[in-house]
Amino acid sequence: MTRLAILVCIGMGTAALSFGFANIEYLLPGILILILGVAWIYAQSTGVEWSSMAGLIGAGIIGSGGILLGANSMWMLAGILFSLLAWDLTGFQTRLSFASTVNDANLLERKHLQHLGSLIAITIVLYMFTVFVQIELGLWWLILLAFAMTFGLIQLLWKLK
Amino acid sequence: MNRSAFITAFAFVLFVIALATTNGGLLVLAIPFIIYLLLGLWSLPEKIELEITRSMDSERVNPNDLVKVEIIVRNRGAESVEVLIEDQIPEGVVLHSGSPRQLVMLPGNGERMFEYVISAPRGTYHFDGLRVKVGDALGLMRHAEVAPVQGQLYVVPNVLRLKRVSIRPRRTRLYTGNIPARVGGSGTEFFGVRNYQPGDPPRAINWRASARHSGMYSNEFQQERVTDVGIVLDARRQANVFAGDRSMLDNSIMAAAALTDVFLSQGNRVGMLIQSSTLSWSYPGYGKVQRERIMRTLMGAHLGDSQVVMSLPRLLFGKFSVDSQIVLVSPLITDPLIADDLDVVLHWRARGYQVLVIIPDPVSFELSRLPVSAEKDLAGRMVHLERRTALNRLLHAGVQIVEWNVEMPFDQAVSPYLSRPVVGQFAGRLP
Repeated sequence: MTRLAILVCIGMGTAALSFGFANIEYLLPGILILILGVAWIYAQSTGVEWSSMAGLIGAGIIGSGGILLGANSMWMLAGILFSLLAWDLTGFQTRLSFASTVNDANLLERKHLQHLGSLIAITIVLYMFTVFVQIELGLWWLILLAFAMTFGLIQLLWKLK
Repeated sequence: MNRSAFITAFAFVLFVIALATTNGGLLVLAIPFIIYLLLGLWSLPEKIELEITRSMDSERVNPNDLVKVEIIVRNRGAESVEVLIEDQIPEGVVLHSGSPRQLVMLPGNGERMFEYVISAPRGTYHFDGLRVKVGDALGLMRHAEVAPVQGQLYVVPNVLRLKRVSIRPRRTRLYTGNIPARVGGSGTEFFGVRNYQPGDPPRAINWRASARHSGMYSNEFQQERVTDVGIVLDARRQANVFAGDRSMLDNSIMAAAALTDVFLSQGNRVGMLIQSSTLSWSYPGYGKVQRERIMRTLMGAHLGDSQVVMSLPRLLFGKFSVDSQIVLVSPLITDPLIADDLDVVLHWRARGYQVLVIIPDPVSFELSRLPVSAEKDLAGRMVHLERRTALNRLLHAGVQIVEWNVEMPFDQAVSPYLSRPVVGQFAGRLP
């Protein structure tokens, strides 16, 4: 099931990014993204370990580029979100191979999918919030926000470590 | 790369680019990464209390016996945790089924059990600890620790049962045993005839001798007592390794174990000397405790190289009492240019020891591992004759020699030759 979910996530992620580019009439890059998606699926199914990380980084670069070129942020966000899910599920699949019993594996899988469901739901809610709430921030606000974000991320990383 | 660091770096880069380009859309892309990190943090258990036990169905086994290892993990905390447990299997241990690495989901106050099956060659194996990794549900953070769950596995040599080993040392001890003591008294073996003494039982009277001569005569029997037996195991590399890197040491150990068992079960006092790169010594003793002590010594025996101790030890005399029985288990190096083994054995004999040499036959051992050819057979015969000629020196000195073709089980191959002392001729080898 996890394996299928990974392939679906890669497919949906690359399709979303490709569609986002095609929407702003970048057809060739859109097709190229689809080809990269197929390559990712192939690498994933043949067991290339670094493919998920490379795929996520690629999706990040393409998504950022799409935003800067004026693509709809919804498609770019969807592309990155599904790529993140594919990357996460790949790591989870490796961990799951050590599960001692089918019951354990099912329990772990269910719990993990619940968390990923929460991730999707919260992301959608926050995205909707950003669509409806538009705030114009000055330079000083941006600098303050940058400091807060940096501090927050460092704290979060420290806590996780 | 650390997963949490990777995600943090990703979010941070998106954020910096968003600030640099003042594009709010890029900030939106950072949302899933930050949510992902927060979910990982949220699912991290606050307090982890695990209790882990490891048990084996047997800690003392024979080589290649299957041992089931059972690991039980209990979660003493209230929260459910995802635990990856990895048992660190010692080097040399072979995994047969199951896995020593398991990922389990432990509910609050719950427990899980898993097992795997191993086997191992002769030796002592220490299980140091279990590596435990506990983390959040998304696998962002892993807290690794080694749980100090100690364990040991003793793989002792196989002990083949020999019915009887007949030895005739000059000196015996005081206690009653199975060894003829060359002293008249109560026993089963006829010793001589002497004048009747008041108190002799009527069945001891030799009526035939009494009828022929004037006076009464009684039969005297040989007393049977226990004795000191010193077993010397040769674990020198140059004596045991043939046909490339194949060793006969395990065969020699099997023989030494069987001999130890039979001598101790006959009530004798047995000591063991192992010559490897150093000399390992088990002091003589009686009974089951001594048996276990010697088995532990044999368990740790290994091939050794030493430029200092090239030959068999000459310094036995402080270890084994004079005139006792020495049993040497060794393929014996007969080439005097390599080691003066034969001189050493003759030296033991000259000092009054009764010497029995069990020789795991290196010639048949090596030949059996070479491709079949007429030249091989001829070379084998020549080497065999050369060894026989050299070993004749020992036979003439009264050393008892039993050759063992290791292709046959030790008990079957040598039992007929050990149950009665054969001195002055080779025993044990099929013609």
